[in-house]
Amino acid sequence: MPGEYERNLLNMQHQIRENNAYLDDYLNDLNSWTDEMKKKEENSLKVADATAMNRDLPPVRNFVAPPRPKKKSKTKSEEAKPNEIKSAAPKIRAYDYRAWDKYDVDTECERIDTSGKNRSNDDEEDADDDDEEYQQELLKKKAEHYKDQGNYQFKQKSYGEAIEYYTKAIECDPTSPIYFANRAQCQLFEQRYGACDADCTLAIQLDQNYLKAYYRRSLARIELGKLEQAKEDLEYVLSREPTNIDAKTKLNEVIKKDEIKRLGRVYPLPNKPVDKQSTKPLKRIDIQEIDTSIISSRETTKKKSVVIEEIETMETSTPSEPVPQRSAPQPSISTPAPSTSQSEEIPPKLIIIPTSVPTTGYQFKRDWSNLNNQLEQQSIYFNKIPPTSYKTIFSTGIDSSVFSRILVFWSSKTDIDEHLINSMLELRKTPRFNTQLSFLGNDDKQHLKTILDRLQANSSFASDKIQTIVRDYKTDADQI
Amino acid sequence: MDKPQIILHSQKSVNYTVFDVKWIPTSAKFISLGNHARGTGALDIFEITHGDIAVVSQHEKPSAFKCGTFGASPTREKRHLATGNFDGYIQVWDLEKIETPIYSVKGHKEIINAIDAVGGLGIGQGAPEIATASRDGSVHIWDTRQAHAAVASMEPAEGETKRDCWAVCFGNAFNSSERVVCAGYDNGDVKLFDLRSMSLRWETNIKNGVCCLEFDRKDIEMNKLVATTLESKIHVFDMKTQHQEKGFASVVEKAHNSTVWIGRHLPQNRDVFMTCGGSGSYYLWKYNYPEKRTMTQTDKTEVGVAGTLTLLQNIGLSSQPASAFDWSLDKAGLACTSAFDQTVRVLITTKLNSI
Repeated sequence: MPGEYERNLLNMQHQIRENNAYLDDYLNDLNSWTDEMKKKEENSLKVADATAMNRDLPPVRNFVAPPRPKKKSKTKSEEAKPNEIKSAAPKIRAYDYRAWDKYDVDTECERIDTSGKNRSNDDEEDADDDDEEYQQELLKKKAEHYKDQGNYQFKQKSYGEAIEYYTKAIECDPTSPIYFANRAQCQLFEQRYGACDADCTLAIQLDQNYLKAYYRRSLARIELGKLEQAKEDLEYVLSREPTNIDAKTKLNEVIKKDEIKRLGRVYPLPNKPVDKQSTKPLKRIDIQEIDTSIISSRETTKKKSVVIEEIETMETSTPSEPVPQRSAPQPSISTPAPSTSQSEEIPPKLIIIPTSVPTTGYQFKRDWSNLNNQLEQQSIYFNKIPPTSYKTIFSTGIDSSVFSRILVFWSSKTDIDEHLINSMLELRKTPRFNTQLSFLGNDDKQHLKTILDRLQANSSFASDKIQTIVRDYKTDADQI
Repeated sequence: MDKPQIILHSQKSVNYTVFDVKWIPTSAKFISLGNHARGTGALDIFEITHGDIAVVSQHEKPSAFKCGTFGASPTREKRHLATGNFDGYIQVWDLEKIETPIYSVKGHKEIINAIDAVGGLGIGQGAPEIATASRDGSVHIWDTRQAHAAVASMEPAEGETKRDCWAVCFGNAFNSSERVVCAGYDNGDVKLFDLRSMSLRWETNIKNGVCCLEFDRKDIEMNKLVATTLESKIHVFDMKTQHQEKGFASVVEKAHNSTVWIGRHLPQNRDVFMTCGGSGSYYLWKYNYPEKRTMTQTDKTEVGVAGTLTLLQNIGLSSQPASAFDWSLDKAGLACTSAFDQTVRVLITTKLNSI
């Protein structure tokens, strides 16, 4: 009883037998096939020599066709021309005397001459055309090839060799501006600026819109010193391509250089690093003539000999012209120097009083000490200070020596004036004024007494002000 | 049991490394190209006779051969073998006068890894051309009518690293002007060059070095492309529809558990192909087309749809990788193959008409 398993087995056996049979068939087939192929081969070998390659194959890819050989065109034209000539004029028979009478030798000769020329011209033209076209194509390819080699050398930084290759490319094809521009770039690197200029000019002649050539020419011109022309080139580039950063920076450089040339060597102060320097161009500032008399007088007074005299005979020189502030301390410092060298006498009377009013305590102290205890000068200087600024100047409190000096000034003033009253009023507003008052020495107190008495005696001024002054400046002096 | 069977018909040992075997058109003979131990090239002609392989002639050439093709033979009767050798020379030999080559040029600076030819043997239209791929990263196209210079070249740009080109194949040669060359590189790049417009038509990277490329037919509009790679991968691209960004659709199959060295389509049925692996195994595949080969996307562009692969049969013949495989044009199912175990084999595949 065939079960499932047996049935499968039988199937498999059947399959295998079938496969084997199939294989045997195949192999037999194969054998007969091989014999067949051998015969075919022998036959084909005999036939192969006979049959030439008759296939019309398309031309080789990317092929540059050579010119048609000249002979062909000649034969063609030769074939053509005789026909034409024949058709042009039928032969005149020898016995046709009438025709011969009419025969115009000159025109005939001319015609023959011109037709001959045409034929040869056509020939040449044909040949030339073919030749030229072919040659041109070849040359163009050659030129491109040289250019590629030149580019390669350029990348390798062998500029001399690159120039040679570009020159060869130019020889092959002088109509391309690219080769000239490339050569110009190499010459820039080789620092042959004149040659670069010439090459760029040639490139521009071939192509007016070739901006690279303009730019490179401007670089060469800068180096050659032709700044105006360089500027022209750069301006042209910028007009065509306003976003060109290189051209802009170069143009600025050129403008700067130009200014330097015209104005002489002027550079900004090199205090700051380059990136912090101002990019504004340097501006000319007109030189102002100040009154020369003062200057000369100052100079002469420096060399003046020492005069042993008291302070009151001194000349006051208060220059009214604007003079830079910085120079002020210098003369005052310099004067002591010559004084010590000259003699042991009293230092020269003329000490320049600072013209500008001090606004800070520091300025006041500096100027005060420079005045070197010369009473008159100090009083003048002090009187210049507006009373309202006492508070700011003496913001840390008035110095006792300064205060005593001030008291001397005020006591020496025989007449009372508005200024004195105001200064007294303002001075008492300085910090620690009362402390200073209490620490006054006897002499100072004496001075103060005289001032106050004078004030009280004088009734021309506002009594209330005087009253305040008297009240605030009150010390124990009264008790002396 | 009604699957096709792959049967070893006969085999022969040789004393050199065999790199390529090719059937001689219209004959029961095949040639083998290889490398003697002494560094010279071996060119042997074998014939199958009643169950065995017989040596017809043996030739030794100065430099070792790597690959060869009959594809640029002007006619089926006149057999010209184009070979590439280890020194970068491509040479064309007339088998009847095999002493000197009829065309020889040093086409590459380094070994020619792969060669392919189209336009000969009466197949297709257009001029016979030979493509060679070399370790120097370039692919050159040669025409035997132009000596000393390649007709076209595909080279990496200056400054870019040169990648070994391992595989090359022609395709799309359906008229005398159209032709396409596909090149595969060791980094997985696959580049499709159009020779008519002299431009790069498509490129992709399939991540593993490409050992072999083959279009299913050279002389029709490109239909399918098989790429076999390292890491046991087989890619089949559907070349009918090219999408702008996605390129060509593909199906990937993993097989052989080793590098897939070769992929060859059956000349009589373009949907069947054999792949040979580094483990000495041979797999017979069938490509099944999808229901619809194209799909319209949301942005109205067409994209191709890849089909599926079915494994029909496999066989393991040697322990060494298979270096070459060639189907016979004249007899369906007959194939010759070589492996690195210094043997050449003839295989029979049965039941191919019932696929």
